[in-house]
Amino acid sequence: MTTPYVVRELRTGEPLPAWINQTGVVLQPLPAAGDIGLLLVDADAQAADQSFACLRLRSKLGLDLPRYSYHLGRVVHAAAELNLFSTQPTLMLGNDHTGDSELADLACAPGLDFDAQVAALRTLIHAALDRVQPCQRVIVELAGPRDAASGQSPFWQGLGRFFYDGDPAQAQARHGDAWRSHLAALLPRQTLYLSFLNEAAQAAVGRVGEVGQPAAQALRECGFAFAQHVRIDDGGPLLERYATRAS
Amino acid sequence: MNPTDLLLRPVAAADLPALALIAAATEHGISSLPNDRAKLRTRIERSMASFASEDAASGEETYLFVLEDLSTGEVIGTSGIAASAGFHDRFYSYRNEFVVHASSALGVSQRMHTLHLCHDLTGYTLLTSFYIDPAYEDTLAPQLLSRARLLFIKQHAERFNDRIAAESPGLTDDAGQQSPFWDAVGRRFFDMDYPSAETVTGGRSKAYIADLMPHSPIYVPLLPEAAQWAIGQLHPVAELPFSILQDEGFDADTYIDIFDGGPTVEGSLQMLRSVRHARLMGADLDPGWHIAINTRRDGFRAVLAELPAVVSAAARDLSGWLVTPVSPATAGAQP
Repeated sequence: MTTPYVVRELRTGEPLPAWINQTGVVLQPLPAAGDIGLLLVDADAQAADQSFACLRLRSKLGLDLPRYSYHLGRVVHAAAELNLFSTQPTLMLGNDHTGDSELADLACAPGLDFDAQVAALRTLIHAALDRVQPCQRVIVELAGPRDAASGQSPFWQGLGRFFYDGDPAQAQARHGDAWRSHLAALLPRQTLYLSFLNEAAQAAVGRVGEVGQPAAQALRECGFAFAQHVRIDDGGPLLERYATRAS
Repeated sequence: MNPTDLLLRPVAAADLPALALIAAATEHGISSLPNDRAKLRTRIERSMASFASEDAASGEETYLFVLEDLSTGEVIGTSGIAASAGFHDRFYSYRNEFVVHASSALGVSQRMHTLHLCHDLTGYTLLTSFYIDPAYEDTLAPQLLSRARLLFIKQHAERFNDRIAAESPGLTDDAGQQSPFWDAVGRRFFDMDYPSAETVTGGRSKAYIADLMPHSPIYVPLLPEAAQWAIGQLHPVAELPFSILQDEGFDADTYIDIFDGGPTVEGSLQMLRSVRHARLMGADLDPGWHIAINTRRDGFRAVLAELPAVVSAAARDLSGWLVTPVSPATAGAQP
């Protein structure tokens, strides 16, 4: 990016651009009340609304709409007499991030190359972290992988579809953020052994899909890391870090 | 063969060679008789001790019966009872449960089939070790072999639980090596093939294996189709003994074996057909073939008798014996 740029907050009533965010969803134009929208805009054209990237900071997530994720755990089955020691990965449905802060709607204008997207998002992530209370945990959801040919999520094909036979993309479009709260009601409540899922679904757990790659790179550079939670629909990872005002 | 030539009696030490032949001829996991002479001898000795014991029942007793064709003097079948499933350990089964997952927002209400690892049948009295020589399958012999056990339990009720269960072998390939249910469930947690797993548990307590299995419910739709299909399915060799248990009124829909997914039936003793219709030998009984047991324990005998009492080949005096009709549903079988 050659032009100088600055971060500014979204003005009241100002819509977010209709870009695709890091979870593969088209941005909702108006952020929810209490959220802070951040835009990376051209320094010379602040008045002209020429923006490169955006991000939405949400504090205290999951307090009105329950937020679900799978915790990726481990159970060891051991039997010394049989010389057996087997580690089984498990998925457990929960609301572990209730009350945390979230960076949502990380998105860039079309046409930016990968490095430019990473640089733009990094700037916005730093700006967002400056607005979070110290010691507060901050999470970000990233899209899971999609099959190149079918566009289907292998994790969904291996798990979700047995519990909801509709199209997840349509359900997301129709219900917005509430979709995955509704989905959670249909999923098993008890520990699910990952080995019961097919191999493609197992392999997809915690992996980042194409659409989430620039954001994943920017987040890692800003100190975010995978903390053993994944999205319940496509198995994409949740990255997290604790806020400090050191930056 | 004359049905009155059949005699069911407790196993004796001299039956070892005959049992060894039966154990060698039956498939892995199909018979609960171990194909090992030393283990067989132990089984026989335990049974003899159980029949002879005057002590209050501990639950550890196992009773093994043999069916003898008196016209040839050969042992043609076995059946058994284990007084208390799991005995001092737990007895594991999977229980079929249906969970409804619903979301009004998504307009979905879906019945999901799940399997729950449970100890429900621990302490139940188990029917075991059924084997009949194939040449006798179409006679009344299997009826005597299977149902006389129930009368024995009724007669000596203080030694048994009033709830009875019976395992049946599930689907395996012809060689008895591959079980689709085991491959999809047990094998993931217990890295062994099915026959090895059976051997490790010795056909007795499965608790050890079960401890290595997940304790959260298994969602059946997530299993491969072959495994889903195997749930509650019988191995073909078990069709005959299973049909007798079904006719007795056992429930076959609730429990399955944790290894091979075969159905484990259970029922309340008093509700079972042979027990409900059991009467003391007398003049007021309906005509037709009956199973008759004497009231002794150590000297237990069970025979078939056609009533009104004709003089049987063995010229038995059945007065004081407990009799129950051979079920009409299965009495069509040629004597």
